[in-house]
Amino acid sequence: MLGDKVVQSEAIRRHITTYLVTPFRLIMRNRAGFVGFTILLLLVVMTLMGPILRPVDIISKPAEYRFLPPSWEHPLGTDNLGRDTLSHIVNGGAVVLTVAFLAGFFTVLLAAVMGMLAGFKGGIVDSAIMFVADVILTIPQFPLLTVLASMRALRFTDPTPLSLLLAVLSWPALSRAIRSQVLSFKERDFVEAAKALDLGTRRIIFSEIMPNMMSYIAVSFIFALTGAVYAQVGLIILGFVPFEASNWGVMINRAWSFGTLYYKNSIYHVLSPIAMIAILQTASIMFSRSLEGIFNPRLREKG
Amino acid sequence: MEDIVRLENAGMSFAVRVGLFAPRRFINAVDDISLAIKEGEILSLVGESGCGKTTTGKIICGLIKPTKGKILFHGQDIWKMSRREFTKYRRAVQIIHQDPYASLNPSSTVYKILSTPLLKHKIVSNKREALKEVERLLETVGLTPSEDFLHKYPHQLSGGQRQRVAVARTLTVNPKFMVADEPVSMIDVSIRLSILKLLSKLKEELGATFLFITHDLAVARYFTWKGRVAVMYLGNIVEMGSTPKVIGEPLHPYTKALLSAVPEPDPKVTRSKKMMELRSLDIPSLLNLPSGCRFHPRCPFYMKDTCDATTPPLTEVKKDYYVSCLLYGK
Amino acid sequence: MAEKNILSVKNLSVEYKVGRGIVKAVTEVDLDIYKGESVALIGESGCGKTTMGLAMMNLVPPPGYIKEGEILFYGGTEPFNILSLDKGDLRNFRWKEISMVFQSALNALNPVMRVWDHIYDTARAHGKGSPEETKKRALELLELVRLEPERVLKAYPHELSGGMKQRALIAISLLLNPKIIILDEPTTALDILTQKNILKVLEDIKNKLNLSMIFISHDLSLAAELSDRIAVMYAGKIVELAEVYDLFYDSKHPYTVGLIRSVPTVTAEFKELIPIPGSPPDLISLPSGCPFHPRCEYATEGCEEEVPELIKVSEDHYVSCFRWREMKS
Repeated sequence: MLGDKVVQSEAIRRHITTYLVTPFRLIMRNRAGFVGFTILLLLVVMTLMGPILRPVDIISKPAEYRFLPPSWEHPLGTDNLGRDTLSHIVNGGAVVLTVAFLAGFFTVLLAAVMGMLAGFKGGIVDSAIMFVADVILTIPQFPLLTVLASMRALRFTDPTPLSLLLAVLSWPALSRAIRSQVLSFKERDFVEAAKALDLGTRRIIFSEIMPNMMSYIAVSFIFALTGAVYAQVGLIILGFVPFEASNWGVMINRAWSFGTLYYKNSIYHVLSPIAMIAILQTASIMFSRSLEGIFNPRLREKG
Repeated sequence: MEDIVRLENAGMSFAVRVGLFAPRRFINAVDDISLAIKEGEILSLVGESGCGKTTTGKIICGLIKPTKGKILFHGQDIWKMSRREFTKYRRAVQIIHQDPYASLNPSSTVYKILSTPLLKHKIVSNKREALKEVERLLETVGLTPSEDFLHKYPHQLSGGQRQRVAVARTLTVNPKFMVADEPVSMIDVSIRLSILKLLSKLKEELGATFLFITHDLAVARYFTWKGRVAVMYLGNIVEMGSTPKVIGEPLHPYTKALLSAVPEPDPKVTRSKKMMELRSLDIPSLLNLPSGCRFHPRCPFYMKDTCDATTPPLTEVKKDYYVSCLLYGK
Repeated sequence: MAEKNILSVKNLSVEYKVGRGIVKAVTEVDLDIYKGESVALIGESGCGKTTMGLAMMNLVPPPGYIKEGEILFYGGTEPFNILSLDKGDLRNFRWKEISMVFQSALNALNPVMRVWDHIYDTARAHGKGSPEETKKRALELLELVRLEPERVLKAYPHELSGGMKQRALIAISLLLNPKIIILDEPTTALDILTQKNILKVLEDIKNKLNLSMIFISHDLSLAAELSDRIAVMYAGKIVELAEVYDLFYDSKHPYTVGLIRSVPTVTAEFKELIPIPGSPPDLISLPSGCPFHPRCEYATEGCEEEVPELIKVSEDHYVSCFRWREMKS
């Protein structure tokens, strides 16, 4: 019926506005957030397109090619084996970004599930989850990571296991915060009304409480992401995780272990990965400023 | 007419820690309430803050489990019901909160707030029917044209409008018993009356039973003129009877004191009103309840060695009229 | 001839600039406050009454600003405009000539300071008197507001009940002997019995001290109890200004009539109440003409086009309505 069709297209238009147009407009509103978003977008594009446009240079060259200063052919110079630095940079971000996003995602997922269960159910469930969280929190994380990484049996060359491990070690802190938020939401009138309407625990947690925590969760995701970058780069620099040579962290490691640090001309080769990591972290944090606005209905409106 | 809800010696205490090393003390928010509410009637629960009226309302809604006593719905103890029976009970008894902003999910649109219970409980079978029903509910509560409200978020609505949405939400499950906890005290004065009239209209149309909780005696008198009023003090009911009688010729000293203290929107009346002098201006703390009759430290009719020694029970001094005071019912 | 006024608001307009637009909180208001009288500013939330009170102390917070108008104070030798005082003069003016007890004053006390600390701080900040003199005055004032002077002086806020805190704040506001005190919603959030106590305290102050009191409230009953004159505000304007008995028994504005008709009472004969249809307007997009016309049963076309002025209908009775003659009480 025509009426139905009109309602349908209205609904579609509204969905597009709510989920695409408005968020984009909101990102634009916060200048810092917009800059952060753009940079992140560029980094992702670079990671995806880079390997195609500028494949990694793996050929060792004779001595006169080593540590060349930037030139048209080698915009970022060359490394200690005469290989093009820029190609390493554009190829080296993939794993870093992948582990960062995956670790951030798993951390938030675990923390959210655990925190919400503990907060809403209370009692034994709460005590049990918080006990486990406390235990994990007391373990010194970095030393544990290094021990695990040095165990040959664990396959750290895959981004996924590494991300999962990072997530397992990072969820406790975030889950505590989520739990307290859930506890305070439990007392709110609209949750009580939902209980009176017999909407069921699952629906209350996911439809009533969680949407109100989304901005917090989104911002926490960003921080889990930056934390994961530090953790993995730290591991890589210390030589515990054997990723391929173009990986930014590996570039720093090699700078250190192959004496690149001692050559004056190597500065471009050393600073490029450091700069990339710093840019990634900064852009992420800047982007988090916009994220809050997207998830909060009050901030979505003007005013 | 049978009793729809009955409280028998219901009490609710909360444990408090007063100091780091002090033993736990208990606050009796609700001390010992026995109350029978008939089906279809309208009852006001009046009292000042801390008297336990909100707690009583939540006990009746099944949102709080009383630490002692029973609450019966159609004769059945709700905390001993089977899962299915309790579900039926839950839907039959609904609550309207005081703060219209806090009672609506700030991240949900009006449509979502109203359609969720409809779809969850399969009161409608698909989204199209849900939309129609939501529109019907919005019209019932006076939010017209309904299209204007469907996609608004709570913060885009005024206090009165939010409260109407909250009322519409309770109507989704067709309740038989409505508990309204201070439904108009946070609403502008010129809108209060229209919300009260809406509640009255709904009561007539649904034939529902109404428990109206408020600290405002004038509002209670207006809303439940044809029903009963129960006055609460420090966790107990001190007087209960038909509204015109309780408000017009109160018996309990506390009720008299309250009525003499209510200011009126009429200068001649209010300036000539003599406030009943109380023996003490201090309000007792729930941690340190007075012995015997809770009101005795302030009561101008205090009888030494009687009022501080015995707690007067709620006695039926006239037909359907109860007072808990040692001056009466001997 | 001795000046009758202590304060004169002339053509005051206050606006707030927010993201959505400009909120016209107060529009072209004239109001005279006489010496020694108590005036109630009555209206609902968003009518501009709190803004008026803040403007009288030149305390309108940003993004609010005074668009036009002046507020003349007649306390000294020469009347001066409060809104044009510089920072130093304002310091001397506030609390000494006019003081204010703010809304939700129950949270206004610093939890780690005793009542005495609050009082002494205030006195010192205004350079008044020695500790001994201040203490003496403090004890007097606490007694005036029916508090136990010694005990309360030494108490921390959490040791006092809501009503006691409110009374302590009233005492602090009287410390420097102001000529006017403004009380914003003094009885909201208090229990009935406590409210009555506060009202009695305010009555005592009114009778014993020679100062003017301005009450800001949404509660008509409060106005009926305590005030000599009442100014009813709606959408940033004064719609009716009259002596208390005239306002209640001979109201001339449809909004006043509507309000009185819609408020439940405890003692009057029970009768059906009549609500005011609609809801208060958005101060960013006010209706054209008279701001009340969309809800008014007496509205005609003229009401939509022109804004009615505040005109005098009898001695000390002003109303801004074109149809005032048709009001019967």
